[in-house]
Amino acid sequence: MDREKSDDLALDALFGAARDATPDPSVGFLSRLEADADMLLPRQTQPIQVVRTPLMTRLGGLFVATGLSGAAALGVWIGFAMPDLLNLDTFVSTVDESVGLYAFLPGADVTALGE
Amino acid sequence: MDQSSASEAPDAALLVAFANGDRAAGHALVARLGPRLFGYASRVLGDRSEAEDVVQEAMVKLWKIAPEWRQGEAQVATWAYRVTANLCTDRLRRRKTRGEASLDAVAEPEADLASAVERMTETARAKALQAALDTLPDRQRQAVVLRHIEGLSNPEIAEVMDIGVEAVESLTARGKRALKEALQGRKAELGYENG
Repeated sequence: MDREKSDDLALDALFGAARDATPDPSVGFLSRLEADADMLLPRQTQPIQVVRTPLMTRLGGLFVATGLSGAAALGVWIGFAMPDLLNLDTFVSTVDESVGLYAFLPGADVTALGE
Repeated sequence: MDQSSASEAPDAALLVAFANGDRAAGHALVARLGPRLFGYASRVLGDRSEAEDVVQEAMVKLWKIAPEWRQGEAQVATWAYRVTANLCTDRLRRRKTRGEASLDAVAEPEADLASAVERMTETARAKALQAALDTLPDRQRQAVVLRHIEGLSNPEIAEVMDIGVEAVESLTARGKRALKEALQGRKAELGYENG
């Protein structure tokens, strides 16, 4: 066996011996590491509580909802009972003296002129 | 996390569990990394007390970074070795500044008389290697210990030491050569005359 190889084997044996004789940490030292970990343990984060607000509340409560429903029902009833009232031409002819109408219904004046 | 699942979980999973408030996961990481880092630091620094300080500091850094740890970016053990290696380098630099000699105060494992006698040769070999390691330049010593005693791969050592793989190969090769020279002539004394 040449010298180079012999030296390599000797060194490998020394490394092996060193691995077997790895310095062991003391129990007290490991306890200190655990104590550090405990001290720096992040606090358990509480899941964020999602507060669900009922749709009714978000819309403004029972009072507002009742008003909205009433207005919607009235609109439907008017649509069925007095459809002429919603006819723009008729409506304009019946109130054509009302100047203010054109301010609120842009284009109504043009429609009226076309008659 | 219970003890059995903690013992099988990867390091990164334990660290994430710790970041979520799992105390047992932290203890499992201490049991896993503490002895390895301590062994490495002891060999590089040649001093148990200093090695304890360094490992304690490295582990505290690990606990502090745990909430920001991103799985898959780095191996926890490699990261811990890297921090430990940097802290060791700082200590060795300070020693040189103060003009201190390298210490060889690594304590032998405690054992009763019978096993101490039985282990005498092995212990003598380990001590001889430690004495030879202490003669190496700091970077060579770190690379040789990581490669041949801690068993890290060259790419892992490159990451720990923040150098290229070729540089690791060069450091370990030069380190081994220097160790052989340092141990030359002591082979008979160590029981390797027929090797």
